[in-house]
Amino acid sequence: MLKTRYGTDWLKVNFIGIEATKKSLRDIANYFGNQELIDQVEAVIAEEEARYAEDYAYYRSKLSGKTAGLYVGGSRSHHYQLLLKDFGVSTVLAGYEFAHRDDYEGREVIPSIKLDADGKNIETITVQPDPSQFRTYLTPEGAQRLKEAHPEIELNDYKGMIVDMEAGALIDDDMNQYETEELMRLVKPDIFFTGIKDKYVVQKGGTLCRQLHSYDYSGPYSCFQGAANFARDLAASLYTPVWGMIRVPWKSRPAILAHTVVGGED
Amino acid sequence: MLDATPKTQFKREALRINSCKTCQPVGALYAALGVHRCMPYSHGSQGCVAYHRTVLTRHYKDPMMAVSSSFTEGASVFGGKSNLTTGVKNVFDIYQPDIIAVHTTCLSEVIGDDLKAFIQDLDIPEGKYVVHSNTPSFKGSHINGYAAMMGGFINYLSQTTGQTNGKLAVFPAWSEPSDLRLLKSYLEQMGIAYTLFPDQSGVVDAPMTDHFEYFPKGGTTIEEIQGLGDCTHVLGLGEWTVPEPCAVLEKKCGTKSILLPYPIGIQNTDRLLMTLTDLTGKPVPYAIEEERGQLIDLILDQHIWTSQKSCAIFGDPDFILGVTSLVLEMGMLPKYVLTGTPGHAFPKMCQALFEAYGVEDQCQAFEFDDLFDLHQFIKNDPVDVLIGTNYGKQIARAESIPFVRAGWPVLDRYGHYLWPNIGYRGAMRFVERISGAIMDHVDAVCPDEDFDVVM
Repeated sequence: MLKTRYGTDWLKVNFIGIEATKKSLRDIANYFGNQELIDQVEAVIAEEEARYAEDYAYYRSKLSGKTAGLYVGGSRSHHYQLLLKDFGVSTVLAGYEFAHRDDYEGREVIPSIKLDADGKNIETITVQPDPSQFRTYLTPEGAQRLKEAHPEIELNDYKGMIVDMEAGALIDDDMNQYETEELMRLVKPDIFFTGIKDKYVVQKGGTLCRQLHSYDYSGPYSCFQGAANFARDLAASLYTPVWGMIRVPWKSRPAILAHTVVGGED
Repeated sequence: MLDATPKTQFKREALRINSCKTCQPVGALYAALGVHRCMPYSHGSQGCVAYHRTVLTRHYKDPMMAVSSSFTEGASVFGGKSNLTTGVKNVFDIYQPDIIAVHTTCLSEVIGDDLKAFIQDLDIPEGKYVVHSNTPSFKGSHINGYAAMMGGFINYLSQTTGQTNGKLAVFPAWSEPSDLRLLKSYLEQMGIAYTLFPDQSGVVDAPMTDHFEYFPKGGTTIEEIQGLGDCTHVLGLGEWTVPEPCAVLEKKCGTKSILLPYPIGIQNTDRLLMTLTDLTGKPVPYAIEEERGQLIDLILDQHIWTSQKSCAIFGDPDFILGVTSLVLEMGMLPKYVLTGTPGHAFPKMCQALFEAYGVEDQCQAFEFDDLFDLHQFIKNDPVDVLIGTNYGKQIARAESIPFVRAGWPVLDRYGHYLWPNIGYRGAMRFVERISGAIMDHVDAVCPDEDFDVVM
């Protein structure tokens, strides 16, 4: 709407994830095309990556190969997949509570979205350009040059969550409790990310569940240091030894031994 | 207060600063309080027993009755036999205990008083008993004294009739009365016939009534100690402390012993319960299994505050071995585990625990060490939490570290002796207090914008 009315270009940026942060910073700098800014961004990336390189490598060794499920709103189910991927964790299940088809499938599906009963209750806003305030930063030639020099920049576009997901991964929109439990049983992720009301349901079932609303009272998880914080918290949770002690040991023994068997330690 | 502790460490051989132990007679006195109608008797000068009674009273906030041979210059030169003879007669006449438990002190040991011979020559009233143990303060610690006094009782009293009494003997390492109550509740819930020795519950945590009793209801009875030789097995809880009394009983009466770690933490409690089942055939009831599940649930709920956090633990060997086991189960890193009690077995036992969790490169254990050293370790490489006796409070304050009081003594708090450390309930209390201390610290130092009721 800003684009239509005022001509303001928009970029979908994401500072959750190491690679995602780098891409967002570079996209912004390249959009403006200011060499000083471009150099500054590269300097920041080099400095930050060097600072956390050791942490990243260590936590990648701890987390690589694990699987995750995500059920949070506000782009997080997409963005955190990129952060998880940075540490070798693949997302096998993801969904939003309140999302539209374009959040999953990208903006190209917008024209084909059919109005449903809910949608009909929402007022349709039609936006017209405002000639008194309409201006674009890039000239048409500038926009063309940007497109040729940086085809990776998705200016005024969002391709949706699905393009970043692996084949075979599941998406479920607006999961209810029953679906959550069934999907947990079906895909058995090592970690599930959601909010406080689901957290203990999942945990009681024996799967690690961390909150991505309150970050389980930790964080921040954004940008370079945030990625290290996130990986540290995730590893600390996954490697808490008590996960291996849930089973009652005297129930898993073959049989109760007779009095006379034990004569010493163990 | 400890702001002047230097960071640079230097090698010390003869000097201990802020020691992490006290002397053998304190332990002997505490063991003797765990025997019903027993009067602990300190064979030495009055100052010794005055200190022992003081420190025990300050911890338990209950009367700690004990007597002394009241050595003066004369006894110190000519020996304490006449003091003991008169003392024992007076105590039986005036206070009327069923048994007197004599322990020695530095002074009576150095002058070479032969307690065994003295006691043989005593004119002990019919049906009364006098036992003794040798507890020189300049050797070992209060933990050695506790074990020695147990051995003293067994040596004098335990017999074997050749017929089993069908009971399981349980020898706990130094325990709080709350822990003994919990241990008894496990045994009773499982329907196991037992003799718990010693048993200070009901003595050092006696209820408020309208009259003072020298000898409250609690304590192992003389008959029970005599019957130890007829027990089916003796279960020693505390691999550091109780091998000695177990060996004394085995040697005297042939009772087979089984040693287990002191049951603090999940796995140590699991082992205790499974061993009880193995020895008696009695299953673990659901009520205990439910407590275990609640403990696991609690550790998982709060693990975000404790997992990967480092800590320093100090105190008595078996107790802190148990705490070390528990914090490892919680995913914490016990960076320093330190006891003042001498004995090379202790660091080895800690090392085995560290290795079981793959943290041997990050954790160290020390025996016969002091709190000055611990403070210096922390100054050079800090920890997130300090766990130990009240003597940690100065370090915690100097370094601004969350502090959890545990073990003996805790003179600066009330009521701790009423809540268990062992078993699943005791572990729940540890977990609650460790995470609580960490969170209290966050609340105390965090910026306003991070200060939140949701944690």
